[in-house]
Amino acid sequence: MREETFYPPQLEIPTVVYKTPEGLYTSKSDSGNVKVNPLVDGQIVDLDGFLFFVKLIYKSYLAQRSRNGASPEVFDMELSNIPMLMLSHSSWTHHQLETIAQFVFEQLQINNFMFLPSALASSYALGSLQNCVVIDIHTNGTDVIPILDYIQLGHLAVKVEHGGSQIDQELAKLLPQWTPEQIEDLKKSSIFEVLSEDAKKSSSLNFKHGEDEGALDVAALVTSDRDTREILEEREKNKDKHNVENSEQENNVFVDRHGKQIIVGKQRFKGCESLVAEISKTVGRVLSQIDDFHKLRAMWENILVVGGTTSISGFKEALLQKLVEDHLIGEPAHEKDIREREHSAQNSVKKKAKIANSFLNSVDYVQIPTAISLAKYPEYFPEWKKHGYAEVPFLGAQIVAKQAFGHTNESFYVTREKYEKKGPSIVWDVAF
Amino acid sequence: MSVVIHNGTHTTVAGFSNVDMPQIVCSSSYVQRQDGSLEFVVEGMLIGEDGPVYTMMDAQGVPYNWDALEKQWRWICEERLGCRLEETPVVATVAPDLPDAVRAQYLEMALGRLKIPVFQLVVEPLAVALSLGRNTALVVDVGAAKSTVTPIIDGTVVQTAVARSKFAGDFLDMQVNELLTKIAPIKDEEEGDPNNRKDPSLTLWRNSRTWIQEFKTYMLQVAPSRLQDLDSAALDMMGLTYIKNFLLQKQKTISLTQKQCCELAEGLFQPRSVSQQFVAAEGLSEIVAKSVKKAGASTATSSSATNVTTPEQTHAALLTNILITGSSSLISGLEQRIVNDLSYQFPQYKLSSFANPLVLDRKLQSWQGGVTMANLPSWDLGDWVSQSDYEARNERGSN
Repeated sequence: MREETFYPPQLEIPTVVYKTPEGLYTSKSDSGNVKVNPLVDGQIVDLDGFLFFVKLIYKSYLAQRSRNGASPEVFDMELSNIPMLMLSHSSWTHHQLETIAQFVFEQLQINNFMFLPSALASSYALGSLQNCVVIDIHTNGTDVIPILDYIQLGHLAVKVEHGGSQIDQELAKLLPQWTPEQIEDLKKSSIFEVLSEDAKKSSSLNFKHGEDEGALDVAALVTSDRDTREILEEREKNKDKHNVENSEQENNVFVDRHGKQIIVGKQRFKGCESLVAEISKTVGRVLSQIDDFHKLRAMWENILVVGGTTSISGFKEALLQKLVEDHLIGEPAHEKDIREREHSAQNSVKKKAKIANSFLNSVDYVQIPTAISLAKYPEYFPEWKKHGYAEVPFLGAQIVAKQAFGHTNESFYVTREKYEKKGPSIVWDVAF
Repeated sequence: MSVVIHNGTHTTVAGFSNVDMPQIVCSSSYVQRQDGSLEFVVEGMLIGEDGPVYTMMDAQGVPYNWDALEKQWRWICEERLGCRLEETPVVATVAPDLPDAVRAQYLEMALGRLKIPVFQLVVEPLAVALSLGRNTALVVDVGAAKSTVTPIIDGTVVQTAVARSKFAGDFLDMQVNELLTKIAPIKDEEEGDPNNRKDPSLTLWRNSRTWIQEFKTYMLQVAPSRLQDLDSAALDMMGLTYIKNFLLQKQKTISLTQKQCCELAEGLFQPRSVSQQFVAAEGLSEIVAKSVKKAGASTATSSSATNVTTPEQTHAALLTNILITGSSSLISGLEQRIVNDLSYQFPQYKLSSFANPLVLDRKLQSWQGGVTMANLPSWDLGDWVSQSDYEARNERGSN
């Protein structure tokens, strides 16, 4: 790791290993070997497979640094004492954590080690938030984990049954003739986005109705309030200039994994609704379990959304919008109407009333939240700013690793000395 | 490392004894799924399969549904905590005056059927007192199904002086439900189709876990003294005429004065204010006072000649060590009211009370008490029962 600034992860490795017919783990996908995903949505489902995977990464790193053993001197200096920080998921059991610690000390021969729960890592990345709620969107599930006074409240965490793959399923319904690969590529392309209500209104496209199958929607042109010629002209212009917003274009083009250009219609703005709605409801239920009002208020104002799905442009904003719609405490519209009517009726009776009287007071409620907002992302990591913050737990891990290991205070991690004294259960004495 | 399980009448808390926070907080009631398995997770019961809600603990906090309790423990340890029951010591918290027969049933379930290697039953209020560093205390636990007062002298529960009433959280749920259905009738979503209607016990459970719970947390409060004794000037001075607005299910604003909010909770202290059928002596302050007096009387008779304890000494010791716990004790003003009421009953004594100011800690207090007992520095200090003790006991029983 470089010293001066924190860089986004350099490697992205699929968490996959293979099992030979003899039951041994390998990195090779030869015939007869069975593919194993040791981690599923953060949970360890195959501990031995996971340990093998950790070993594989560590060994590859050592091999790379020593140029496959060509320069053994690096083992004396640079590689002799690498501390390890592992991000853990809230579902990992005591037994799993202890087994990992044992493996790290006894098999990998690492001398300094610590676990960091990934939700906490996210909160540290954003300037160590004392109270917040972390929404971690995986492929097939989403974790909603509240953090109170720097403590992850695992017992109140809830798993939503859907994750990013829900979007693929929704898109498959809209684009039945597409392959799953094409859908995945569309989802990951820059033209796939969630439009805010404002963007929908200001866009020239008609978002009320009209489902097209990926080509020019004539009906939309005809029913649009705007002059057809104007829209067509605009389309022509788009071909010359690319600075027209994605949301202003009827169709747009992306390149799939095979280098083919694919044209897509308004479906590129759809598919996230049900996931967003489900997460929002769950967040409401999770936070309603917290009744320390002061801290609850801070949690609602520091909502963190992480996971690959959050790189979809507009996704986080759409989620925030939904949270506000579902949970923000404010006077119901119909009640306010009634009050306004009564108020103006009163005012018209006594016309001579002072100006101050014509002002309608707002209703104060005892409940929380009266404000909902996303946590503010740090501006001071230029490389990360470029990269985006979907993998923010990694940034948090970098920050914590630097603080914990770059310190003479050994109380935050397990040293070999401590491990040898107490064994794997030492991990409970040094929780960060 | 052992597993600590606290089965409250409302919520079950469980986790390992070597970490500060429990891993699981789930319901002490359950819904049986179509496939026969039991759902204990609150989230699952709120949005999952429909079905009647069953309980496991009776109103005294004593289990009666042993079959479900066994399944719950199995689920907690094996599925959620990922540990093998045959290898894990377990500590469970129990009511202060648990009958011997129930104690035997616990042992039979834990050591006999679940094959737990070593097992300890911890008296809940005693564990709470010791975990807060006191060996003499008057523990006032205001829970869901019951309020319990337990006097503890020198680390021993004064069994005969334990007092209990049914006026607690569940009773308040009923009050809130009654009031709100009167002023803001909520339409039943599935009215009309009787085949599709949810089980009433599930609807009740879901209501009490959602908007009733919300209403209780935000609106309920306890007046500093009996409401009928306060005249309008006093009410004004204490700000009890101030109006609180509550948004019910995002649809309707409920506006109540603080006095009305106090009236709702007044039933805890004056059950008669709710219905003439209720016994006035079961009010919270009444049972606290009764327990103190009984403890004074019983220690006076039991103490030996060399170690004379007068009832006055016992009263003084208990009244300066009032510990208030239980989720329902979080209603604002409750602690002050107990102290105020007691100062009328015991004017000659100094009073001092403690209630954990951290909301979360108070909710988990009983579990944390169990953790303290599980982590006692010496094995001998805990009341552990091992498999071999259990077998020996059974042999003695059968011979």
